[in-house]
Amino acid sequence: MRWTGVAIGVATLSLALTNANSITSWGAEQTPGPRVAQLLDRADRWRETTDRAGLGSARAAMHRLWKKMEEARWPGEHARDQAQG
Amino acid sequence: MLFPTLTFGVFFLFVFTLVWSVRSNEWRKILLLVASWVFYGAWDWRFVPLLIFSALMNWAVAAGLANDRLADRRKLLLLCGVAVNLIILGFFKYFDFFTEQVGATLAAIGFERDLPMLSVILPIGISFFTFQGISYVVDVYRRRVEPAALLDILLLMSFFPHLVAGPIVRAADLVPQFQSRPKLDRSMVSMALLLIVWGLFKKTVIASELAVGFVDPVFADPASHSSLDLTFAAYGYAVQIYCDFSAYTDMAIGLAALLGYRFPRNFDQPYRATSLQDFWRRWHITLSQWLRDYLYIEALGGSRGGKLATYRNLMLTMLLGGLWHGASWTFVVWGGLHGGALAVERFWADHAPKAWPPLPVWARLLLTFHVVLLGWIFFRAASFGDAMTYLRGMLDPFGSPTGFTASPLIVLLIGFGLAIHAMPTRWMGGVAIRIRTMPAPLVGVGLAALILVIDAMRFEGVAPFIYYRF
Repeated sequence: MRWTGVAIGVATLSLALTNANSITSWGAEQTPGPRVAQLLDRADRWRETTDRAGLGSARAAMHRLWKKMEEARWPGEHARDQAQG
Repeated sequence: MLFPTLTFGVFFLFVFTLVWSVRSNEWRKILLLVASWVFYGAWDWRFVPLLIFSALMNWAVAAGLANDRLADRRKLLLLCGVAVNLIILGFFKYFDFFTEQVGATLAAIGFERDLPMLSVILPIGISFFTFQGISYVVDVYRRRVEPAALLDILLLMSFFPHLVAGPIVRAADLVPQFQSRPKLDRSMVSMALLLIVWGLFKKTVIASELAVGFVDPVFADPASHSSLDLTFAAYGYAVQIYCDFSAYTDMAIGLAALLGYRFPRNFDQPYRATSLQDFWRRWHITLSQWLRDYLYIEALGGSRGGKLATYRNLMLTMLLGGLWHGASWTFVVWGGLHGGALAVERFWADHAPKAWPPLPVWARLLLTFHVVLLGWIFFRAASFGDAMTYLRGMLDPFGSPTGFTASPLIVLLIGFGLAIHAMPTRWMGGVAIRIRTMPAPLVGVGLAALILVIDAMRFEGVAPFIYYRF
């Protein structure tokens, strides 16, 4: 149980440090209200803190790479699309 | 509350900490029960009483069956118990569908009437917990299991990891595990964490990307897509539904394991199947076993009535299995296709000329996969008409528009989703054995790194699991 608790605890802490972006995204999906606004404010400040420390850069770099892969098209596809108007 | 969300993550961490901090097994079960009702109530509080009523009713019927010694009264009680379960399922799931069909039939014979459409809301997971209830009362009637305590039945039917989309966990699987406070060992935790991460990847990356990026737009308007698009989207849907549903059960099994309970396996690389019978031993295993044990054998008589009765029973089982998925003709056609193929397979096994060599394994695999693929088109299409339009467009490359809208990433994900069926069958067990020897902080960092990579790739927002609506 101790082994499990430490593993889950370390994972949670690591994610809170390196993936603060997901907390703000999650907050933005909640039904708006005073408590959610307060939570969002705190989440934003936490994200800014981790970003300043460079902790969010790994996720951001991977996300950019993934977006590039999503946007990639077959060779000649863009030219074909432009030719078709 | 969907598994791959932060809301559920926080909820689970809270429940995990709470249940492992109590010593008493009874209090542990009560906490899990309350947590399960909160989980179910997060979707719609109005249906929590339905879930409780269903469990209470099945518990009372089972207690009556155990106390009664008269065969006729026991049979009557069993029939009442099964009937109430089916009435609950039938009302919420099929009332509007059957009213619509009756209305259409009356209109066709000149008796047009305005029949009451109630627009009944389908409670999430109703198909799963009613089947669980039926199996419990039948098992008690057959004396395969002892009647369980009320708390155990309430928890069996409400336990949140399997509540909304299975696996269908029978009393014999779970109730014995409720009798003492479970122990957590490293092997179980390693396997659980792997299953959760693997499920997270399959759902949020593969299934979501395929659905939003390609499959949904093609199925929404098959007439304006090329034959190549339609063909790839059919393969894409085969991968999407596997990655979506198996992800849910992987995560359910992993979450239950972290709470100390073992669930039965629900998927075993289904697209490796070399026959339809083999497919149903690998796909949604707990449902196919349920249909086999309680419908095909128990209710219809299985193969006891001779060959013709066997074919008929296979067909009926799969037709009803199709209807279980939803009140729509497309599901009936899907079930009929599987039932027909199973009957043909059985007929061929009985009557194939002895001199004919059997088909090679690769040919049987391809044939089985493409029968399953054909079924998925009906399963996914919004209507029977849409499915036929889809099939016509797919099979007529010259009559459909030209072009190919799948991106390289989509093609890569389809290929990956099929390739994972070629992996060694027990690969995850091997990895889990390595993980359990590692220091806990290293496992924690590794787990966080994997979740971080998945989160960077995941599609914005999470669509509900396909099987939520069943």
